[in-house]
Amino acid sequence: MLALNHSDLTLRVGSIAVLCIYSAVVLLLAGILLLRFIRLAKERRRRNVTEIWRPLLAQCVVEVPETLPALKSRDHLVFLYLWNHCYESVRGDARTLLNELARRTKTDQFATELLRSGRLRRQLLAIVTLGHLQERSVWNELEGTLQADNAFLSLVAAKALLNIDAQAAVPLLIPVISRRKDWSPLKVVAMFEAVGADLAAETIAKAACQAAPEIGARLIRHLAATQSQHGLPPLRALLRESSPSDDVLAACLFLFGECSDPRDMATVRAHISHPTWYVRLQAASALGKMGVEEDEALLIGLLDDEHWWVRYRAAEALSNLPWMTADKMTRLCGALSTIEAHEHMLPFMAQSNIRKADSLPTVPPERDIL
Amino acid sequence: MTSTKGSPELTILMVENEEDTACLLEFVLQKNGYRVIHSNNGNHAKNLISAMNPPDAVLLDMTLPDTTGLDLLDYLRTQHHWQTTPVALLTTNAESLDSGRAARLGVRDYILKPVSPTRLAMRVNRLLAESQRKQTRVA
Repeated sequence: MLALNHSDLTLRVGSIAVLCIYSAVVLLLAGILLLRFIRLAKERRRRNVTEIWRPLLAQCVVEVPETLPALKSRDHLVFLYLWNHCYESVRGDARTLLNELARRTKTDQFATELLRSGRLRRQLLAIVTLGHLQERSVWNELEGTLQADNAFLSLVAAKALLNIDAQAAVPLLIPVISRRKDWSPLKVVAMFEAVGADLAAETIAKAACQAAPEIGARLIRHLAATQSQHGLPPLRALLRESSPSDDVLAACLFLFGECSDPRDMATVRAHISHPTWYVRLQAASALGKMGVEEDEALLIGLLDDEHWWVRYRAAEALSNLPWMTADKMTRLCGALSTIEAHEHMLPFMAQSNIRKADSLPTVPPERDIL
Repeated sequence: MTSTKGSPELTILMVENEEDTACLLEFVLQKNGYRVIHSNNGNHAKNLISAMNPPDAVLLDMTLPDTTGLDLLDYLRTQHHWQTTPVALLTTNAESLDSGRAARLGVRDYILKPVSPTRLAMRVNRLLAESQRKQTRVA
């Protein structure tokens, strides 16, 4: 009797366990099906919105139609992606028309709500949109986002501020650029693309002057990418009025060489005998790009420098001088008094002879930072 | 929008993989009276090029998923009737282009992205007008 009861209980427990497992599997399957259904429904909705709005957006770059289809709030996110893509694919008057479309579909309000949603992807989309729309009402929120821990979010906010009002954004951005180690200098330069190279160069140079040496030096090196000379005056003032670190000094000399403004010649020459080898190196490279005939002697002097890289760059700089022909280099090489100097000149002399033999136009050898 | 309307029978082959951009360019070109044939990848474009008669002009995106614009142009120029078809390249960065190769392959114009609809229409009109002038001179 007891054995029978025991087996009955085991059977009952077993049945309950099987039922639980079965229910769990059914629930799991139902959950998977539900998720799949939601995903497919979202996908279908996205396709529908795209099918309606893609041709309309294309039309809006030419003219905004008088009547627009209703845009449900659940479809607005997809519309926002399409609108931003379209906005970034066009320029000129087409952007004004797209802004008109955005206002008529209340996209500015929707983007402002997204900005406050607290979800990163949505915030990024909102910031980009509001920047394109030049929405002044969110200025303070965007300014606050500049301090966000996420570097990407803060950079996008900086770009949006520049789009909204570049003149007002610059004073805010200078201290932030000089402080944020996590902002790539290349991204900083690219951020200013829309507002013009001159403003970019000036702002980045001012930020570099305020920054810690390691950030300042990196920013200055990337200033050359702006191809503007507006970054030079703040740096000249920095060198004149203070004693910057060797890193910053070397970066300035690199930039002076890239910009080749004759006003910086004296500064470059003054650093040819600097105690730090990489400052001498940058001075030598800069002289190769902007030097005049009297600088040849300075570069020849550097061929006997104690540091290998300085000797190498001095030889390269000599070969880069516009009046340095293959014959002149051969004569110069013959007149050198030390073996080291002679050895450094040989590869550049060979290159020069090859160019002469092939009668190819003179192409300066590849340059890099060192 | 430019007031210059293209002739209705003029056909443009546009090779552009970005659906949104393609839709936009197609609209602008159609608005200017051109018939647009769109291809969204290199392989499809090659099949079209081998199968169809040359269009009046080709707009070629530099960056395609399966090839580059210049490689596709290379292929295009090997086709017998396509050697003089006017081609303009669509690019985001003209500086990164191999301009020597592009010139050898007979690229007539570069259209920078993002595009201005007005300028796009103007450039395509000019490209076709130049091509027609050349054909008239040859004839």
